[in-house]
Amino acid sequence: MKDSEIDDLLRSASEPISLPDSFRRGVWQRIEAAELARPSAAEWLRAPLRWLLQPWAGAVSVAAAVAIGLGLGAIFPSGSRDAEANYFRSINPFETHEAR
Amino acid sequence: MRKAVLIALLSLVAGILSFQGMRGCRPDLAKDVLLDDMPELAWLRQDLKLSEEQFRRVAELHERYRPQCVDMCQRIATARGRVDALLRGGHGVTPELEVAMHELARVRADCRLAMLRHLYETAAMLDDRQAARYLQALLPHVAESGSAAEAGHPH
Repeated sequence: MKDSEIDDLLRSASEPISLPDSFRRGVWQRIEAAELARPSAAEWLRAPLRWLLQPWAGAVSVAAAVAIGLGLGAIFPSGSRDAEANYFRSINPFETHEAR
Repeated sequence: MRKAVLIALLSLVAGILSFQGMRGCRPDLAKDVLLDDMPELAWLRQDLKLSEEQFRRVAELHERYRPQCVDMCQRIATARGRVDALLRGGHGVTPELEVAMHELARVRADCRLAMLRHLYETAAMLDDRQAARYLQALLPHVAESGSAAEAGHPH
């Protein structure tokens, strides 16, 4: 059998497939649902901001920021290394002493 | 949404101000008369958290050590000046230079020992935890002290 004959035979054997309308609709619905479920980058930002619009959230947010700031400030006091160096300089005769 | 952004910014500013305020705030030091005279002792007061009594005794010891420290500083400067003058003379390794070099080394060793003695005397006035922290912070500096100046001199 020649190739052209095989092609003719295959063509004659194929039947048009008819899909039900509900199938096509279902596919599109699934695609839309998947897109809605995956939030965009802007949505990630908008979500906490939306949370802040609740009546009590503003006060909670400021209070939390103040508490975190105070905590970190207590853990990392300013100039600790400088103060240590100043003290050592004051007892180190190898440093030039200013007239007291 | 603009209101939410404002609240977020307000929270951020409040957090930063609290952090800065807490870092700089030392209410226990504000009315310390001894620290007005000897601000260099602030580290002992703040980081080692000395009691009033401990701080008073440490400050007295420090006050007594001050003139001794100034005297040692002058002795080092004099001995170093003599070595520098002989080196500038360019007469090679003369017996005078040898004596001056040995004298400088002896003065430096004396000064380091005196500083070490002061550190241990101060540590003896602290409790174990404070003393450990005090010595751990300062002893490494003692070994290094003066080495930069020595490195500047040709051997």
